[in-house]
Parts: sequence; C-alpha cells; structure tokens
Amino acid sequence: MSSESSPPVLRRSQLYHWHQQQGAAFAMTGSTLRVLRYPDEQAPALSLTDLSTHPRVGFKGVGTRQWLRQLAIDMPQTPNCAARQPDGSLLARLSEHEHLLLDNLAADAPLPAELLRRWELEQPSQCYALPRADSHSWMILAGADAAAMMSSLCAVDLRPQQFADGSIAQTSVARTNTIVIRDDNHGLRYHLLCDASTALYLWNILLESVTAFGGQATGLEHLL
Amino acid sequence: MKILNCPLNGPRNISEFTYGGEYHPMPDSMGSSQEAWVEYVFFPENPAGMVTEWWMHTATAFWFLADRNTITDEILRTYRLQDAGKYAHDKDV
Amino acid sequence: MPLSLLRRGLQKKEHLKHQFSVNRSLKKHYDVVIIGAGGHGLATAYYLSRYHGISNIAVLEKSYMGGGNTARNTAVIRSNYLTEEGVSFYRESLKLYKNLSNEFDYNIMYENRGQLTLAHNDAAIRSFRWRAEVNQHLGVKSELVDRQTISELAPQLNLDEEVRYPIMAGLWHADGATARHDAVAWGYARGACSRGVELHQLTEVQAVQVSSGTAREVHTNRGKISCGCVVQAVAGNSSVVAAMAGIRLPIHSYPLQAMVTQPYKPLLNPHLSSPQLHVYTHQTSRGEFVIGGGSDPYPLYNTRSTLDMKESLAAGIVELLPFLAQAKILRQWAGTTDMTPDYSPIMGLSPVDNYYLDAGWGTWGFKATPISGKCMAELVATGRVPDLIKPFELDRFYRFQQVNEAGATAASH
Ligand SMILES: Cc1cc2nc3c(=O)[nH]c(=O)nc-3n(C[C@H](O)[C@H](O)[C@H](O)COP(=O)(O)OP(=O)(O)OC[C@H]3O[C@@H](n4cnc5c(N)ncnc54)[C@H](O)[C@@H]3O)c2cc1C
Repeated sequence: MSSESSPPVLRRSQLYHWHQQQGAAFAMTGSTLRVLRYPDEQAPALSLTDLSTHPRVGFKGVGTRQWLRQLAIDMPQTPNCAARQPDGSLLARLSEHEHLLLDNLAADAPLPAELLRRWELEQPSQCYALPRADSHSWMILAGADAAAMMSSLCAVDLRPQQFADGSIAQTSVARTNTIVIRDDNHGLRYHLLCDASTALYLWNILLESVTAFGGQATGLEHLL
Repeated sequence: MKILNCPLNGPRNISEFTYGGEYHPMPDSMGSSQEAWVEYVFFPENPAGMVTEWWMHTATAFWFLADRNTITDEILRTYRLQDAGKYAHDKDV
Repeated sequence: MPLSLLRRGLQKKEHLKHQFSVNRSLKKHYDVVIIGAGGHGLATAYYLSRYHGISNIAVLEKSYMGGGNTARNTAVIRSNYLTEEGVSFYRESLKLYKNLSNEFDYNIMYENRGQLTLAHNDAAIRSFRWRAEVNQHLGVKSELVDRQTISELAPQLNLDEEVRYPIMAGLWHADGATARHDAVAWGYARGACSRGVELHQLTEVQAVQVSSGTAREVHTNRGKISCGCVVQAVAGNSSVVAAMAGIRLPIHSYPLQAMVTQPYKPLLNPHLSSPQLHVYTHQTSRGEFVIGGGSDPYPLYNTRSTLDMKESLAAGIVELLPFLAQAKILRQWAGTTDMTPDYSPIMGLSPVDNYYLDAGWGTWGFKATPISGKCMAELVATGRVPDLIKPFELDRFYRFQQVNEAGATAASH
C-alpha cells in the first residue's frame, strides 16, 4: 500500500488489524486511513461501521458554554442532547459543561479543526480542550433493527419512540462504558463511543448481534 | 436489577454506579485534630437504617448523593451535592 | 476420630437428648454477658468455662444459635496470610482446629484438603511469592507452584491458554482445610452448656447501660440483666451493638453471597480460589460445589441474594471448571459481614472498661473461631490482652498501624 513517495500513515483505527484481516479496501485522506468497503459487503439493512479515525474533539470547564456561545455555535439546551451544526458535524452535550464535537460521516466538516484552532488561539478562560481521537473509539450502527438489536446489550430503552433523535445515553453496553447518541440520517442510526482499550471487545460483541439480525460490518461507502 | 436514579442521567441499573461511602462534612483542614481526621477517614456511622451516601455514575464520572435505607435497600431519593442541605433533616420517611 | 462416634456406630439404639440448655429464664446477674451466639461467642464461653473456671455466663442470641455468618460461610480454613501478625494468629487457629473433634469428642468434619490460589498475571505471582516467603518463615506450608503442579493438584481445572485470563501459577497451601461450620458452633455450645454456661436464644440485646466508663446493665427484649463484663461477638451487627455502648468502629457492613450446585460424584479435592475472577470453590462432602466470591458492591444489613452475583459467580466458575456450565444451582444465600479497612479483625479492649470487642471478622472469621474464643476468654479471665491479638486492637487506627491483609483476603477468605 505504501510506496516510497506516498505520505506516511499517521492515523489508523484501533480496529485496523481486524479490518486488514477482512481484506478491507482502505482510503487514505491526508495521513489517515479509513475503510471504504469489505469484499463481502452486500448493502445490509443493518450495518456496523468503524468511524474511529474521524475527527472529534471535546471541551469542558465552566467557561465552555460561554465560549461556544460567542462563536455562535448551536448548543444543546440540556445535558445528554446533541445538536446538528450547519456543516453536518454534531455537538453532543455530555454534562453541564462538557461537550463533544463529532465530524460528519464524510469527515469533511470544517468545524472540529476550526474549533480546536480557535481554542489554541484564544485560550478561552476556564475552557479546556479534550483530545478524543485516541481516548475513545467511535462506531456507528445503522438500520431499522438497530434498536431491537441494542435491547439485548444495553439496559437503556433506545427504541425510537422512547429515545428521540439527538438523545444521548452514557451507559453500559455489553458491560463496557459507552456513549450512545441517536443521530438519524437515512433512517435510524446510533453513534457508539467507547474507551479505546475496549474497542475490539465491543466491536466483536456488536458484530455478533448485528450478524444475528442479518447485518454486516461495512465501510464508509455504504453510509454515504 | 435495582434501579438508581442519577440526577444527571436518569434511572439506570445500579450496576452502572459506584458506591462512594457515607457523606459527612469534611473536618476543617486547618484546625482539626489528628483524631478528627482518623474518625472522618476510618470510622463510618454504618447505621442500620437511613444513610446519606456518595454515589458515582460510572459511565460519566458524575458524583451525587443518595438517601438509602440500609435494611430494606430502598433508595429514598438522589440529588446533587448542592441540594445536600435541603434534605439533611428529612431522612425518616 | 472422636471416640464417641465409634461407640455410637456400634450401638444399636440412639439415645437423643438436648445438647444445649433450653427455655431457661434469665438470671438477674451474670459475671460475663456474651452478645451473639455465633462460633466466636460460643467459643469464648467454652474456653472460659473449660479453662478458666468461669461459668456464670450468659450467651445472648437474638435469633437462633449459629444462624448468623457461622451458618452462612463457606468454611475455608487457612493461614497463608501476608503479615507476620496475621499469619501467626491464623496459624494458631489451624492448630486448634486440627484437634477440635477430639477436644469436643464431637465430629466437626475437619478436612485437610489443601488450598490452591490461582495467579492470572505477573502481579499476582509476585504477591504469591511474597506470601510464600512470609508463610514459610513462620512455619506455614505455603509454596509457589507452576502449571504442571497445578494440573496434578486439580486435573479438572481449565488450564487452556486461549481464555481471557489464563492460569499462570498458583499458591499451594497444603494446610488449607474445611470443616462443618454448624458442627463447630454446636461443639462449642455443647461443651459450654455442659459446664454451666446459659445459652439464651431469641434474646436480643437492645441497649447497654454504661456509666463512668463501665458497662453496668444489658437490656434485652426479655428484660434487664446486670453484668460483670460484656463481650460483643455479633459480626455484621458490630457497629449497631457497639453504638449501644457508645463505641464507634471502623466497620462497614457488606453482604457476602455464596451458592451451591447440585451434587456430583467426588472429583475435586482441594479448595480453589481465583482472586482475578472473583470466585472460589470446593466440593463438599455432600458432592455439591460451594461457590463464593467478592462482597456486594455496597453496604447492606440484609441477607437477600441477587441475580447479579449469581451471574458473576457463574461466569467466573465456568472459566475454571467448564463442566459446571451445566450445573443446577440449588441454593444461594448471603450473610452480613463486618468489613474493616485493613481486612484484619478488631479484638480486645474498647473505650468502655469492662466491654470487650470481637469484631471486624468480615469475610474471613470462620477460620479464626477457635483462636478468637481462646484469646477472648484469656482476656476476660485475666484482664490482659494476649500478645497474639495485640496487633488487632481498635486503637491501631488512631496510630496508623493497620495490619493490611487486603491482598491476602479479598475473594479468597
Ligand atoms: C457467604 C460467606 C462466606 C464466608 N466464607 C468464609 C470462609 O470461607 N472462611 C472464613 O474464615 N470465613 C468466612 N466467612 C466469614 C465468617 O462466616 C464470619 O467471619 C464468622 O462466621 C463470624 O462468626 P461470629 O460468631 O463472629 O458471627 P455470627 O456467626 O454472625 O454470629 C453473630 C451472632 O450475633 C447475633 N446478634 C447480632 N446482633 C445481636 C443482638 N443485638 N443481640 C443478640 N444477638 C445478636 C446474630 O444473630 C448472630 O447469630 C464467610 C461469611 C459469609 C457471609
């Protein structure tokens, strides 16, 4: 994959070896590797996709909301809610002050990088940046059966009528701490973020359930 | 599964939480004797009955207080630290 | 073997009689009032009456004799602790246990099966090596063993390397044993009652009247009695009873649960314990696998059992003994355990002059029953704290001289 002239791969997923074993086709954007598709993919109705190399950044501290307000960012009114930004990125409010910004699926929204740049420049008072690319892994579960599937892994009622679009549950999924964010976009979708050290464990468990529902792991192309 | 109501995250299985010990005001950091500190650190009330205690929602590291009956295991209420004063004299329901 | 067993085996007819005093009214005064008729309280009464000539003793029990943690424990007896104080103390208890059936002339079904504790990581191996060194130095049989030896000691163990926590080494304690827990309580009760000690069941202590630093009266649901001195041995209720005498203890009361499977033919001899998987087991003489593990996640004065704990114990045990995946669980239960910060007991004097503490037995006090009774009796009879229990004084917390047995106790009892 890499020749003398190609740029070095600086960022690959915690699940990279798993992808490789499946014979995934990768795309390299800048120095980041992403899975485009797997050889056996058949446009499943229920899919699990690794977004771990997508940009994301967090901010916390009592000055966070004031700073975001100054930047005219559309902010969720209560904790455990997420708000879509005009460029497609998603701002998740995790507590009174902590916020997490997730890139869009195409990984081309300007806001994550922009916010981090502004934060470095402005050094807003009592607002601290939280690099989340390495601390957390990020997956997305997509398809109408996603809620039914999650019901055996998670005690929070994630059914669409109970867990509105934009809702967040920070809870235990298959006994590992996970942030679940409902983010509909061509149907029912849940973002799942877990500690990077538990990524392979969670991925395998989720995949077992996805397979039981007739679904598959897919690359990014399937979602875009 | 027992359910605990987290003031930030709502009702959750108690397995999502970590018990954090009895809630007692900390001794004055300047004036207190060694004995007062020893008792604060090592000697809980350990009552059979109502007790106010620290709990943490593990997935969010959010700390709060709970009034719980240690005989029946009923949780009377959960609340944020800033509301501690409100319920201080209201534990014998 | 106790001789009476042989005699009765040869006898044609069984003559049953009460082994303990029953239905007596309370006297006005006792020289010694013991609160709690578990193994510890009864043993104290036994040693006082048999070896110190003190028998004007009442043992007060709010429920039935031996129905507390004495009835609920998993009967593991061992002395492979980590501190010199701990090892020396439990070692003496083992010595007493070995001869207890003969001492009572009553079978306590002591079985010297050995205990195998499993290491699944390097840190555990390091601490086992440390324990083995301390143990051997103090004359306790304890050694680090490799996988080969483990497979010989317990061929049924799953030594597969393709599991989440492969077994890397073990701590083999050849002295490890089990005994019939109820029989221990009965043996002590019988021996004490036959020497004039009064056992009062359904007699709950509700208050202790203390004046000028001395306990004067004990108030029960059956009336007041005056006392020469008081020994409290109430396990999970230690904080509550001590508070009656105005004493605070560094104790949290946590449930500890256990369960047993259906019986199997005899196939496992040693006791197995895995601190990493939070599970331990042995096969009882009835053939059941008794399975225990770590404490509940938060304090409670309640002996309910939970599905959570059943799941967690089951998950751990099938890693060690996969064939148990098919086993049916017959019973699950809990006891309220009096946990101390350093996993060592609190024994000896208290801030009240004639009020003695035998508390903080947590998840590990069954094995200490004989030596605790013996030491408490000596303390009551002589007024001097025996050297063996000096390190366990309540006062140690004020001096920051805890006796840390956490590493040698959690999930292995
Ligand atoms: C599930 C489980 C497993 C265990 N496994 C082991 C093990 O393998 N090895 C080991 O060494 N230890 C083990 N333990 C710990 C051990 O059981 C205890 O430490 C030990 O039995 C304590 O004995 P005791 O006589 O002090 O208490 P208990 O047997 O509990 O007796 C105390 C008595 O005091 C009575 N009482 C309480 N309050 C009052 C009152 N106000 N008035 C009158 N009476 C009162 C109670 O009713 C009770 O009968 C285990 C414990 C549990 C729960």
